[in-house]
Amino acid sequence: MSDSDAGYVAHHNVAVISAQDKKTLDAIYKAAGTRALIWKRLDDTHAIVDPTRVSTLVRRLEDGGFSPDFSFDIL
Amino acid sequence: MSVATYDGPVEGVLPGDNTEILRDLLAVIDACEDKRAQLTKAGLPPKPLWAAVNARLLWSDPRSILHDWDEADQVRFIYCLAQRLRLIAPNDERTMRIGPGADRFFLTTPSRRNAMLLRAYIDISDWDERCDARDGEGHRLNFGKTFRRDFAMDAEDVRQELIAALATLPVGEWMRSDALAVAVTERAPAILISEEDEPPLLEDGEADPEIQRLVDYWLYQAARFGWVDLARTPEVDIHSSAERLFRVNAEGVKTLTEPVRGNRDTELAAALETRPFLLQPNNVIAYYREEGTIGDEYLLRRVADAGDDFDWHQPVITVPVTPDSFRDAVDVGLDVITFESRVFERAKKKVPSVFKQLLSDNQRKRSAVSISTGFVAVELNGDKKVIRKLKKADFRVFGDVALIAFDLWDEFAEVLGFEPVEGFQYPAELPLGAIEDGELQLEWSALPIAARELLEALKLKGDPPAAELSEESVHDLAADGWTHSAIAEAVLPITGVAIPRWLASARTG
Repeated sequence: MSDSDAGYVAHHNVAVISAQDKKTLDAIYKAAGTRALIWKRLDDTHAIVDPTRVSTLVRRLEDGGFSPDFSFDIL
Repeated sequence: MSVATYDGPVEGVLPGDNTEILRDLLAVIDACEDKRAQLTKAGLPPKPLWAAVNARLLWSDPRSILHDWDEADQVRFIYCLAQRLRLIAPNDERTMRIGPGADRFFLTTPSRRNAMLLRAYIDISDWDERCDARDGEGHRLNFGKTFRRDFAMDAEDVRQELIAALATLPVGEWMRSDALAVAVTERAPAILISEEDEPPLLEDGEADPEIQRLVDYWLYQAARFGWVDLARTPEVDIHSSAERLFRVNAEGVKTLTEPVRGNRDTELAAALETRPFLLQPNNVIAYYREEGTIGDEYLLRRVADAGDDFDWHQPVITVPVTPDSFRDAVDVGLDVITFESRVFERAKKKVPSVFKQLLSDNQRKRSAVSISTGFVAVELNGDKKVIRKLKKADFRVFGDVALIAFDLWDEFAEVLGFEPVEGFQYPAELPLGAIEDGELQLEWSALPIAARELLEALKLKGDPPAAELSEESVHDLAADGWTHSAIAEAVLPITGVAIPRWLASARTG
């Protein structure tokens, strides 16, 4: 962290989860195992997630019946 | 400043080229994926991992110095560079694996990759050429007389000064190394001294002898990054550094002096025009190196069955790809569609059914959920004009937050007109907050994006912000999914492991 008066704040190294629809991301939100790993919801279908615990997130999504995969670009 | 160029005969020209460094960075990823080693409690790689890195380097460290991490100059340098680029990163179990920056770095355009390399090199803080560099026999070079922690300037600033001095020199003209030493001496006379010392008194146009020694060493570094070409004069012994010749490499110096231009599509398309892969029915991919890129080499290694020979001297290599090795790559972040477009669609002949089966077995389910890594999230402070500008330049902006892929950072800064300097790195080197006296107290005025929703739900106040964190205060949050267990996990990126007992028991429960 460094201080300046630029006003913008950069968060280096984040991961993003993209869901096909709002209902899917809502369901992921509600699951206790995945709630803690979601840092900030961006819109109905996207959220910033913990980049250091992606493998845990994948495991828990699979446990919750989702089939996550990796995408080079944000869908 | 007038610079004396050299017009005489030149021998032993070594063109500047970053191929070696790119290959060594691949070697670091290979070693991490091969060893799958847990970092020590101090966060260092264990000895088997650094020995595995060393064994794969083009210029290995001597075995005699491999007993101590601080001594292993080449290993530490390339490991730190790979870490800065996030080509490698510890996973949830502190095991060093391929990181979120690897795809971004190896699959981007050459000019963006060069820019990323430059930035990462400048930012290395766990290795310092002034006191860590060693000669070819493993002996420490030691520039100046200052102990490493007492230098007046940070290593990052030293590199900035060396590069800035280099960028002032004429392009394509042979010069003796003292031309750069003089330029550095004039720009930054204090780069090798401690805060208590004064720079040596010198005549105008005279180089500090210690800076000259540093420059003689650093020019090798600059050649490995492709910024300069090296040579020597015919009459000089090959080991005599004082008479070393160099010239600023016309292509390489663009990385130092020009912004990354918006030629992303044409540059990438040109790199992907070739067809270097031959996929065979026996689950083997033959790869023709002369027709490929470093990105092709990287992708092939990701899916290869472990233990294959990647001898750099072979013009063609054959790599077995099994269902397990492919699945392993998918499990740690391989985008199947990217692989298909980069490898299958660039095959010399028809893709055999065994490979099509591999792809369909691991095909993305479009209806599900996708995870993308390797981004910087920038909060734009509600600046609508900038948000419009970024959207127009094809950046992804969600409300007030822009998501910038690692390899697009320089172009983002260019569109913005400046580089945001306030910010956080994840994982953070030091805790971003602590829980004390029933309060979550943050370290900085700006909020981290880590656990942002929990932080907002806790209704932080003050500067730096703080909020009560007790069983009573979080009672009402349970309705929104914030169980004790979820809170305990969410605050980990903020506090490290220092959480109160009532949360710790929830975490283990």
